[in-house]
Amino acid sequence: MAWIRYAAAKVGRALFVIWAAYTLSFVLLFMLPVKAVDLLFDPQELMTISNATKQKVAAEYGFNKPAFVQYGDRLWAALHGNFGTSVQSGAPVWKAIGDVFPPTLVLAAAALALALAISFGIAFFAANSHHAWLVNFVEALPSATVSVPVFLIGLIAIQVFSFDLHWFPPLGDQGFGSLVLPMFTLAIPVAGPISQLLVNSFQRELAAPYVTTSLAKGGTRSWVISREVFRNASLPALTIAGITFGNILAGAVITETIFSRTGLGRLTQTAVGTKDIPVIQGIVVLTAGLYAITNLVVDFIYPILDPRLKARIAAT
Amino acid sequence: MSTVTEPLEGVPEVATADAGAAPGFRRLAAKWLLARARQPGLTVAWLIVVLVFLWAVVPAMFTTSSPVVGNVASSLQPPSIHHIFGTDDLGRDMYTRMVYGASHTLSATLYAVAVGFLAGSTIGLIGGYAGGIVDGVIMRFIDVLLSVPTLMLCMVIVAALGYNTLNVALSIGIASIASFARVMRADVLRVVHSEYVESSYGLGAKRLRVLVLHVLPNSVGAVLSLAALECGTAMLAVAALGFLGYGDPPPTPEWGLAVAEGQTYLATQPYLALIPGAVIAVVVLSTNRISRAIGKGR
Repeated sequence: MAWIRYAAAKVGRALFVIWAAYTLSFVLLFMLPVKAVDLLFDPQELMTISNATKQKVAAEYGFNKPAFVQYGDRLWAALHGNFGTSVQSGAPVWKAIGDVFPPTLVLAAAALALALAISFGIAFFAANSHHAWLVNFVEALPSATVSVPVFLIGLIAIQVFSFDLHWFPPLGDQGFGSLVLPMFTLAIPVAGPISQLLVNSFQRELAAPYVTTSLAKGGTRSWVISREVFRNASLPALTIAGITFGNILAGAVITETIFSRTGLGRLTQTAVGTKDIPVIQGIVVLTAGLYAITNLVVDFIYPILDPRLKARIAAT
Repeated sequence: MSTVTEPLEGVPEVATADAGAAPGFRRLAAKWLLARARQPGLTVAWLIVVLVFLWAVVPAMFTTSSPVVGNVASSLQPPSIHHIFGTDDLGRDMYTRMVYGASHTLSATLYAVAVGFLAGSTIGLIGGYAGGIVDGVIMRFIDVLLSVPTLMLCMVIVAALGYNTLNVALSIGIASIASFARVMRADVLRVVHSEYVESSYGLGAKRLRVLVLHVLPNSVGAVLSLAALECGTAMLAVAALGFLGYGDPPPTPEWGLAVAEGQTYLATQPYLALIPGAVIAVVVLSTNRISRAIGKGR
């Protein structure tokens, strides 16, 4: 019973976040601008469009109805999967987003895998090395990576590995070679917070009594770290899954812009640049939904991995 | 690094030379110099931040050329003695553009942090102090703000409000409300249940009096150090949105925009994009170093 209540509360919260993101973006994008109709036209062509056309389009989009009627109509359509059509391409919003989603997914997955490898590498190194200055240096890396703009990392990568060394193409999205530089560019800021957390939690776990016990029983330091500390110390990384997800998406906007790759980030950038309101709203709802699902999955996995939490839920 | 070691060597001299005149001040100054020399990284960070702050306030003191009008005859020159950061495609001195750009980037950053700090801590204070339904509504509102990545939330807000640096700053401020509100709320909850607040009620104090006299001063510390930390984050966001082209249009010398303008010449004149990028990175690193020191000092 306790589990059903736990699950219901978490699912309810996820649904609420998605609904609220929809509502918030509706207020921001459809209510706040003084003339929402004007946003539906290309800013450069706006002067040449007659008032009659504007009125016709306004009626088509329902802008002359009261705000809450508009909201109701749009929410009802959105619940049926209809977010309207892109102002720029005329294609349905979901199709515009669906077309560019796979390349972003590939980039995000590759970058996340690399970021995890970098983070665990840093954490293991900091826990194992005997040279204090080296440990200090490695521990300073995470906070340094979050201070450097993503676009600077990308531009340096292009400058060094494309223009100087000719190893990888500077832009485009054809083949594996073109994925390498964007993957590294995106992985570095994503690895920052994860490695920061891992270094701290490895230190905390290494000071725990069970480590002393294992060492006293004759376990070597690296054996204790890989068999016992590793599992306990990496669990908290799940708690920042939501932050990681946000970092990847935000990083994708800039990475895809620099490397001229098709993807969700680039679509966001062009949609905001051309004020393609329906597409922007679709993307906001999609990211909020993915964020909510990420957290939901973590909420369900965490009690399975951490028996203490399991006991606490069962006790309620 | 020579500037860092100098004070260390100078310390004994200062302390012994004429100890008779104002010994208190001398000793304090020597102590301060010694502390600075022991933390060279922090000292350099302070020097950089103070320099950039002066760039923003009195740019004309640091350069005589114009950030907007260039000399086309000397365009696209690599860094040299005459132009330490080189010149761009319109022959404008990049160093001058960085100096004048400081006021754009810095004021946007401070504006963003001020918005997030004031709105966020007010919301957190109300939520933590009122409790009940009010607190529940506020927490759900924060959940929603957190569910959209900061940069995307900023882009949506800027799309609704219009493209200029002021709106960019406002959007970053709004996006940072959630973190300020959460930290403030947690501290208010801690203080509200403390014994001195309860005893104050016991003595017959009104809610508002307790709020202003006890709760506020005892819970504002954590948000203040968060504000220091948020300066670096906000500066990165200002630069990123400027880079994407949502800030003031050219010829504004804003740092992020300068990187985007330089990107065109990356293959032939890499310094045009990399130098503004490096300026941003160095200033953000310095700000973060200082805010970490402030956080530890608390």
